[in-house]
Amino acid sequence: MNLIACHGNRFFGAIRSSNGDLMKGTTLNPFNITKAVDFSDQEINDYWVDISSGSGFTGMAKPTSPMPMLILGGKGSGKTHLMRYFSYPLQRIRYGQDVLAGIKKDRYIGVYLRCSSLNSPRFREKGQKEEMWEEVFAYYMELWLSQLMLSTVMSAVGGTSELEDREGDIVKELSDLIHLHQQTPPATLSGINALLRDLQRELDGAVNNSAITRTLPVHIAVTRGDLVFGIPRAIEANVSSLRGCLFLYLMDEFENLSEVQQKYVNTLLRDRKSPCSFKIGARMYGIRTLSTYSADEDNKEGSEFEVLRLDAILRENQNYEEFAKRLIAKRLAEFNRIQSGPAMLDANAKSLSECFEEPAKSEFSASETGYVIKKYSGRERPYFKDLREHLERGLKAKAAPGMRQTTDIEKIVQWLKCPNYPVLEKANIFFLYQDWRSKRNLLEAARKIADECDSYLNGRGKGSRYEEGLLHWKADLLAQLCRDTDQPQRYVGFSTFVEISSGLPRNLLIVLKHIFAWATFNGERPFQGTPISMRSQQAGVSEASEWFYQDAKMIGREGQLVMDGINRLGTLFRGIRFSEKPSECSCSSFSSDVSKSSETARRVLDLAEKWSLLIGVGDQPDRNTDRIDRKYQLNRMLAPRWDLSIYRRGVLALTPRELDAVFDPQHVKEFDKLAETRVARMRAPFFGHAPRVSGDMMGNLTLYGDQDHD
Amino acid sequence: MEPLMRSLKAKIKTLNETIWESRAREPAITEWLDNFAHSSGAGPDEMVHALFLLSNFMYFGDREIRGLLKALYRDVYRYPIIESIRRGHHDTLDSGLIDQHYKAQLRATRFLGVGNPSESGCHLLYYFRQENHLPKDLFIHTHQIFTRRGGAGSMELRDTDVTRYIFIDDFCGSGKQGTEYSQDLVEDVKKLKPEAFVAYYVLFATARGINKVKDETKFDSARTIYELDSSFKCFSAESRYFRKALPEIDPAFCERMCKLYGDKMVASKHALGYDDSQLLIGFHHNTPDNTLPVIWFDEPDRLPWKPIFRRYPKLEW
Repeated sequence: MNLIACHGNRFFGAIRSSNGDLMKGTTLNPFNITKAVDFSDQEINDYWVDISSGSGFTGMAKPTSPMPMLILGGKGSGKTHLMRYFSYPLQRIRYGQDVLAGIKKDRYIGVYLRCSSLNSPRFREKGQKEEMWEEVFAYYMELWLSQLMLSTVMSAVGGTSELEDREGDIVKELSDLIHLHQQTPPATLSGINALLRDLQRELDGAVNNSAITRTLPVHIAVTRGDLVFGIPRAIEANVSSLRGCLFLYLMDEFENLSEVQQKYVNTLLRDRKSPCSFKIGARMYGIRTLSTYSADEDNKEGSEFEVLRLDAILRENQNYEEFAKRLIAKRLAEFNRIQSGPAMLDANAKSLSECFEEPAKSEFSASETGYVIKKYSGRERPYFKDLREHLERGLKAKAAPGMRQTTDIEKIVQWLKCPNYPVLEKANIFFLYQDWRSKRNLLEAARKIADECDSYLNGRGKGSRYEEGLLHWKADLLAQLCRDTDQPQRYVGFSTFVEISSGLPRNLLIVLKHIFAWATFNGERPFQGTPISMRSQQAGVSEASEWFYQDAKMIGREGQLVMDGINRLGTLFRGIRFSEKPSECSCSSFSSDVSKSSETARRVLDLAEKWSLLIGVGDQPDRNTDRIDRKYQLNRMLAPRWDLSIYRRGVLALTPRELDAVFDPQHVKEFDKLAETRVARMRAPFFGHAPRVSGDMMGNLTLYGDQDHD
Repeated sequence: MEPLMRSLKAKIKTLNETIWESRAREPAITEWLDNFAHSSGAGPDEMVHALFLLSNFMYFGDREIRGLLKALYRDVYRYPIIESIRRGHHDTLDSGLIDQHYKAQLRATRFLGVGNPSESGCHLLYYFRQENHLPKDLFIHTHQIFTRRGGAGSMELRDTDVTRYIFIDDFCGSGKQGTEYSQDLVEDVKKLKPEAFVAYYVLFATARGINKVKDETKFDSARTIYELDSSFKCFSAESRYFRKALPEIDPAFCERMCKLYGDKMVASKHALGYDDSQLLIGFHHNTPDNTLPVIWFDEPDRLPWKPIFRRYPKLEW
């Protein structure tokens, strides 16, 4: 039973205009909100789903560990969601009135902040020296962090008798840390907070006006680190409810700070004092420096901090699909305001796959490819038309072994036909191209392939080249079939969307958002009974991929270099996939000895990885040597843009020269020629060899004649 | 052809979600495309040409119409009055003085709809009043312009304090209605009060239509917010719809197709829209008959046809 389908009524709440039925119902999309910053604290809580892996996200993020942590991940990996989940407002929602007991149980209290709120670019230039701005920024952070910590603590323990009893001592301890000149020290914690607020406001005024006044009249009233560490120390020592708790600063969007500003925060990490710790959330490219003000020493991973690479972990986690299902089931349940306990949530999650139409399993993909028979009834199928053309050209150029006359073409075509099973016809043609490339007699090859096909059809092909080859190449053959017949590529089914998301939950939400919109446009009722059609899924995935591509575009020259490189790579992969005899199956990955490519190529490649356009997927031993090359896959969200496979199978080995041609603008002029040479070896009728008959433009073997990657 | 169909549908989907108020979802589009069944004699590519036309359709929804009504009041009515007040007071910037004079002018204005009370021109007055926060006593019916206090045969202006009569309409295609109103009403007003300012303000107008009203009527002013020049005429030489050539789209084929179907729907001279307007435009409240009939025609007795942006016809008894 499809449980999800029973609950979807809320989606179709119609919005009527004052003109009655002229305005058709506007459907609410449950996947519209994809960014955690757009969620309220309550929504973060309501939509929260843990991963059933070890101790879940708590086990990964270790909020009770005193060791600071960098939480790194691409856009949409869930960093903000995770960090906000550990923050005090969410603890408050989880534990309600018993928040103190909850904090004691958690053994931490979280203070969440976004570095983007600082508007950090204002802390530079304007006629002031950099060393001045370093001090001013550090002071500003001290005031800001202190207020956040103090407000949080006051919210947690405010009004309790233990705070009342000890407030005086705490206030005295904190007042001693603030250099107040002649001012009367505050008598309460609220007073301290108000004082800090006033100091910050005064500092804001000075900083904001410095561009105009060209002065920076600042009196620094707190030594850096004194309050950041001092407040938690004073509270922990005096308030027994919080004794033994870790005071956790959760700093998100770290990439918004400049190198100098990050240096200050790095220093806090290095000079960390109990009972404080830090979780720093940043994009993959977001860490500009690890250096500190402590004798300019660098913080080291494993020593001063540990790293959680969130999307990499999710991508490789075998429970990611299950987590993704529960995430979506939870989203749907919350959107419909249906209470769902864990058992119901799990049941809903399991039934999620049924909400999406997938091709019916059939022998030899008959139902999946049945449209070909109907569409080309009474006319030749396009792949046979192409084969004829290749055979004609090959015959004319004396590059079709075993063929002597044009009547041989018809014989070959007839042998390769298997009208009821288009995918087997594609396979037959593929095997012929394989044999052609190996310069085998085409007539004999075609006859043999026909026999092999017949055996396979009759269940006698176990372990044969035919069966093995079909298993290996089927996905590519089906993709080619779609392309040959002007059909969109089939990226359908929930598991496919999970793969496409590449460990970034937001990508999954975006894919579903677009699919939902297409299904609604197509007059379907998604998650309301009938599965979402394949055409809605295809259109949605295609649109999501385009969105991802546009969203990933970076500003500036470097950004343009990266996008140009990705475009060239995608084009190359597509050329390979849709050639007559691809060298790699389901090719969407490449390997290369990066050390030998140009510095620019390495830099652009590095950026592409940091911006999650390429995913580093480990190392690949080179086939011909003992060398270990770096391996990358094109982000699966981009695969639909070039009609590529989302699965990682064949890996294209690129030479340093080819890598430069892809990623280094100085070598871009060589790209077309190198790519053409590479792909020419996979194209009929010449497969990269020079034609014997002049006048044919194909297949000049230049650089790679001795490098046969078959 | 199929990639183009897909990309056109993607464009239409975006339009549907953002501007078209979800008026044209895929099932309705499929039903409409099924009208084009190659039987018109115009060839097998009718569907892609029809979809191409649909992807260029200009729909003005409730929000847009309300925005235009605000613009009409502000830019066409109010600002010229403010300008003249300022000029008459040595380019004053005294907002109190300007406001005082403006309110006096407004009180002496009456707004009327074009057409009978059930037609769209009058229908718009409600939103015009709402959006511009105007008092309802500034709005009258055409019969309230005059009075026969002196008995049958005598006609006077009902309110001699009124100095401006503003006629508001949604669409001016040929200019026919504006011309009729000039003959029926404006000339009489002018006879009784030559100095009265009588204006025709319309949201959308073809260049030809508004120029006809300007040149051939007694209106002191005829203005539009959104002028449709010859580039909006679908199959004209200047047509904006075929500027970017797509290999699969043949403008001549498209025109032939629309004409062949249009001939079965309406009188031949209007087969591509009333008075050969050849427009691709529709509104929240209706689709004008100046738009290609293949878009809006809905008279099953005459020809079985599923419209995509239906026109609610003005039935006349």
